[in-house]
Amino acid sequence: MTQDFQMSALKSILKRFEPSRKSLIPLLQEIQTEFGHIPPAAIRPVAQRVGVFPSEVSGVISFYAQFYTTPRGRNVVRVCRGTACHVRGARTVLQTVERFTGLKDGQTSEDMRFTLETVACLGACALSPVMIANKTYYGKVNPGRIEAVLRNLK
Amino acid sequence: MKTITISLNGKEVSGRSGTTILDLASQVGIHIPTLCHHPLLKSVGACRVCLVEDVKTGRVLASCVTPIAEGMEIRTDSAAAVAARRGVLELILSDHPSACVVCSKGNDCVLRDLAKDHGMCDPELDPLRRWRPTQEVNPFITRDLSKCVMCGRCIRVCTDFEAVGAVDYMDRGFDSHPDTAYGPALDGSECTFCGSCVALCPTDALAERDRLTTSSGKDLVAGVCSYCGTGCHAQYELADGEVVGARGHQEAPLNSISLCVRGRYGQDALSSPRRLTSPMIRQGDGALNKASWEDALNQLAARLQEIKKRHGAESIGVIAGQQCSNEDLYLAVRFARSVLCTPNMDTTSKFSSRPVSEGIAAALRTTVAGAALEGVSEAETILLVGARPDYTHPVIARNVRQAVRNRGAALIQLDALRTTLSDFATLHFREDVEQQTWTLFQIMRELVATRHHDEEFLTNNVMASEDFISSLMGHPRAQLPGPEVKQAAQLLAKGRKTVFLLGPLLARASHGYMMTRLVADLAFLCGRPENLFFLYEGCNELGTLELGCGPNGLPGCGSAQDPAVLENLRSVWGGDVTADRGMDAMGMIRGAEKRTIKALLFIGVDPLTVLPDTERTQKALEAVDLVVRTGMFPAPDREVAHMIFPAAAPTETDGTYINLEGRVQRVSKLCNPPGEARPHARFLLDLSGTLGNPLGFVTARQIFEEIWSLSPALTPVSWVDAARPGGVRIKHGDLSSGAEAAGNEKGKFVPYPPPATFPSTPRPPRDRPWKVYPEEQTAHPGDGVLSGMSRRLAKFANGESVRMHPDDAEAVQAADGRWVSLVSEVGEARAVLRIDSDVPRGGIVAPVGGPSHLLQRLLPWPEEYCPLDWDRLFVSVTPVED
Ligand code: SF4
Ligand code: SF4
Ligand code: SF4
Ligand code: FES
Ligand code: FES
Repeated sequence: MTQDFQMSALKSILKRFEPSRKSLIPLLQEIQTEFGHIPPAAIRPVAQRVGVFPSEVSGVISFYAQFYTTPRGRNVVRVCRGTACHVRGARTVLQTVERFTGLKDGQTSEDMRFTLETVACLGACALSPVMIANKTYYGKVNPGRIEAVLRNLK
Repeated sequence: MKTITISLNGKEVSGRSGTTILDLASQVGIHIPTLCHHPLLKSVGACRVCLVEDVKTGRVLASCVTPIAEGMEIRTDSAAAVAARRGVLELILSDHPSACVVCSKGNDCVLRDLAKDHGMCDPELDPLRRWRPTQEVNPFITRDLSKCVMCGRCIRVCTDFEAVGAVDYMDRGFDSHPDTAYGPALDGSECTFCGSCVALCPTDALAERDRLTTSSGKDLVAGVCSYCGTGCHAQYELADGEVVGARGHQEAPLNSISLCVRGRYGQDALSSPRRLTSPMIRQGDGALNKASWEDALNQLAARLQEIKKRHGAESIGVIAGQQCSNEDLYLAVRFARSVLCTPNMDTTSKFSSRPVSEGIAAALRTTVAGAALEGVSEAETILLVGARPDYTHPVIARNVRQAVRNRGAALIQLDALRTTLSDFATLHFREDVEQQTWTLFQIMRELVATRHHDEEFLTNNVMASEDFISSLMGHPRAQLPGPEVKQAAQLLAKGRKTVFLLGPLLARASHGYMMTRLVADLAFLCGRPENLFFLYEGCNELGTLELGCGPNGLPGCGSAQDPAVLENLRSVWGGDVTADRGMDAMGMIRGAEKRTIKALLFIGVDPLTVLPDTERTQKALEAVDLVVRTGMFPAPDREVAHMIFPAAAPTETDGTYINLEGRVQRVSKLCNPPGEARPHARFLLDLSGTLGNPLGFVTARQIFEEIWSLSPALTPVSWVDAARPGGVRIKHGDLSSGAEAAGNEKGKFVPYPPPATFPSTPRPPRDRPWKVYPEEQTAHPGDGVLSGMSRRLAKFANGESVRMHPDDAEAVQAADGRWVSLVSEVGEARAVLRIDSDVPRGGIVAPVGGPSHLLQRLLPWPEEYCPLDWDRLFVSVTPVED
């Protein structure tokens, strides 16, 4: 069963980390690398291992944008909503992506093709409005280009 | 440590380095408004309401987190400080719903106070509201996070003080809010519903559900919680003559601001509409009719006189409950022995404590531990034997968690079941009691073998210590210790602050006495006998022992056979005092079966919910000519009494109680009893008067003073001191109750050589193959009578269930959520089955207490008076139709 399989994989990850609260973030990163996200069932075992309360683990996961508790799509699209991008039409960019994928901020499509997220400044304001698909930056985008990019992501 | 001087509002003041500006200001009486700060919690500087100005640098500082520094010139009232503070408040108020008219926090709301003090009402800022629905389904706490000011007090109190860690900050920025690991509600989290977060939440974001009033109470009055032997000091909120809320108190030595779910939310039982309000007399047709006190007392007196004349005083028995005050208990003994002149006097507490209290008395020659319970949170090692404070004594469990979480203490658990404390345990010996005796023995041997024991203590304080050591080391059944035993011995090594907690479970185990003595031996080896605690269940269970409420006891810790004690009593009580050894509760029930007992008086006891073997008890009582009881509530299903007298609750009369560490604590009358209800003591006085033997007491204080004047062995306790938070502790070594002092080297502890053969687990009979593992319920402590009347607690423990391992459930063809019938040697009980892979194979976990009194139906009366042999209860399990 996948559940059991995950649990044994989780246990072997847990064993690789020191039982100390310092291990919490690297441990969560490792779990995410392994599973693509942090399964909620991992919260209690992680808390036990590093000696903190489960609520603290949840707090850390929810604090950092890098951690996800739900599975993520094959393609992660991030739209910048920072000030520079906002002034130059980030809203249209977002609407275009939303319309194409049928998703709202933070959602993942059922077929796992896309996950949509918004970010507050990607540090590339000169290129605004900016969008990232997986690891590629797309600057000065317009609706047509966005759709072309998205169409190519399977 | 260095002293630092600063200028505070123009005055030179100094404090030790590290002191915060806020603390220094409060030391010199300067008030700085605060919101997120709480003296019991670590300051985090979350709200910035406490801003002050350092006029030298012009900096504005959060005083609760800023330590004083040489040369600071702090003004708490400068224009800049006030403006900054108002700005902060303005921001906080701008996203706070201003619906202050109806708010359960009422005058306790810190935010409302701050707004009032600063003359702020409608903020000028555009409100930016967060609306969050309340999502709780639990009966105790509602969360309306739109009123949350993100002070983090709830998180800090839950994590650091309760050491539960159910809530933490979730999300970031404007979205951040306190929540549980799996959100969005407290239900299903680690939350124990202690309510400490509600008590400390400065706004109505966290509030008590189903309060009896819509606002804060009008008065706060001190009292003591009567739900368990911890005896937490509580402040009761009163409104319109009713208790509407309860909270802890920072000055309370044991519980501080904490209470547990029962102490905080179970007080609604006191104002239950089901309270008895008038005497009831059974008519010829069996119906119970209301009667006036005068008529009822006259009838009762006439019947008692008649029975005494025809059958003698020995045909009458008195059984008192462990929730009675010392004054009630004392009068019960005096009434039995000198008014009725019957020696048949007992209490129900023996069912829940006898083997352990006798074991402790024999080993330590005292009934109470020498140390105070607060010490548990400072312990370095804690041993739990048959003890599940997380269910029976939740505030003590808090101390255990504090020790483990905050101070890195080691927790060693000896328990067949997993409990919520198992998550905190370093070692958990998951064994039946029989194996636990062996484990304790092994640990002791290992301690001595590795010379980790306290030799000096042993030589100086323990009788014949060399013989004891050789009985351990020369034991024929010695084995090589396993790694867990070795680790346990290291954790118990001499020099470590070790605390031993024995639980009520042990008092019901057939080997409870042996276990107690073995743990006492271990405590001697560790040099820590003062830290051996027994978690008495009832709020005055220790009182029943101290006051000699037994077939052979007399108040003043004397034995009825002691001529000096008797002489003294005769002179105080006047007239005759019977010195015979009477029947205990078991004996009285047997007497009823043999028709030698003709009348039974139960003081604060509902026999069919409290005594074992409901069927047999009922039959026995039905054969008694006169059954009388006093109590607060009607019997839940079957009533056997011929006369019932309505009783006052502990909050409705003056009285004293002795908690499990020997604190004598006084409760004053906070409100009037409902209807015609009267204190148990009043009933006894009135009855004595009607019998032509008035005892002459008018106030509880007079009774109290007579008790202590009769008890030279006890530290004197004054009526006034007993009312302080935490009362007065009876000191270690001042008691000799129960100890067989004769022949012992005076003042030394008494070791117990390990048995030659250790007990083995009994084999289940073929037709009843499942071993019952009793499990105490947090919501239903002790006999569960009072808690059963609390709407909120009853809702919480809704649907009692039994639990089995999935494979075992399959073997009996029962499914999760379906009803099963359990049949023991003496009775049948039904409950819903839950599947749980943590249950030991071959066992079924069944609730203790609880509204259905399931175990009472299954347990046989023991052959020997006690123990109840809970660990030998076997049942058959069969699925039944819902
Ligand atoms: S009720 Fe107690 S355990 Fe539950 S969240 Fe509040 S402080 Fe924590
Ligand atoms: S719920 Fe109450 S105690 Fe908790 S952070 Fe919000 S305001 Fe503070
Ligand atoms: S621990 Fe016991 S005495 Fe304290 S509040 Fe809870 S029930 Fe009451
Ligand atoms: S605002 Fe979009 S990249 Fe900086
Ligand atoms: S009280 Fe100082 S920051 Fe909140």
